[in-house]
Amino acid sequence: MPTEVLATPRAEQQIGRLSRKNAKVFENFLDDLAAGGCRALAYRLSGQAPVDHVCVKHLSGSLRVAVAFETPQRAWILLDR
Amino acid sequence: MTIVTEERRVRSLFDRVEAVEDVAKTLPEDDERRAKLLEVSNAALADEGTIRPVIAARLLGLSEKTVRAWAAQGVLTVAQRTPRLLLDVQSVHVISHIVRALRALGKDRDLLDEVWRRLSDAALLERADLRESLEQMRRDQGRVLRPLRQNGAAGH
Repeated sequence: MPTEVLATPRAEQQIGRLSRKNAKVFENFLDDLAAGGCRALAYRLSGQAPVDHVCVKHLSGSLRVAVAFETPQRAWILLDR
Repeated sequence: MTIVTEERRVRSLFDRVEAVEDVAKTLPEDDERRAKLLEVSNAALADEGTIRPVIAARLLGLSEKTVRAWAAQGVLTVAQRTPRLLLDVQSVHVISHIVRALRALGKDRDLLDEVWRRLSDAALLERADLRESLEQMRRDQGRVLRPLRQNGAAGH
């Protein structure tokens, strides 16, 4: 499902500190997320709302990303490590 | 106490604890009743205290050797090392949730790595930067990295 992808200012600080290699991996992930929505993620964290809408994906090494789905077509990057 | 009797008793404890947790999770996070219920279930596990690796293995559906290896690697919390190894029952309970969820997804290989990841991801929820990020999202404070319009244009 096509999805709009946004990043919070806190996440953007972390994105800005990614190495070139991880930045490339992250950019590819953004493309997957934009194209496929929640299918690009591994699984949902458990807990009450809004945490139950937070998904996690391990991208490479210690690089992982936490994404919150405000709606099925609007995803927010929350953290990227 | 025989292994079978002990397993049955701890399994019954886990069932009761999970019944309480299930009810608690239906309540909002800031509801005092939720906190109270979770406190009760934690107290029930704390009363049990420790568990033998052989019982933990049966509860988790793993070999005792694997349980001992996980304890050695810190995935399961060791309550006592000598004269015999005893595990913290609360940590066995936490891991039992994770293992069950992973098996439900058909992930039975490389279970240790997956369990490590889940434990570390669960700790994300406690992080101040994640909370801050969620607050920013609620305030609609952010920048679009991939607009919806372009996704459609990309042919997906």
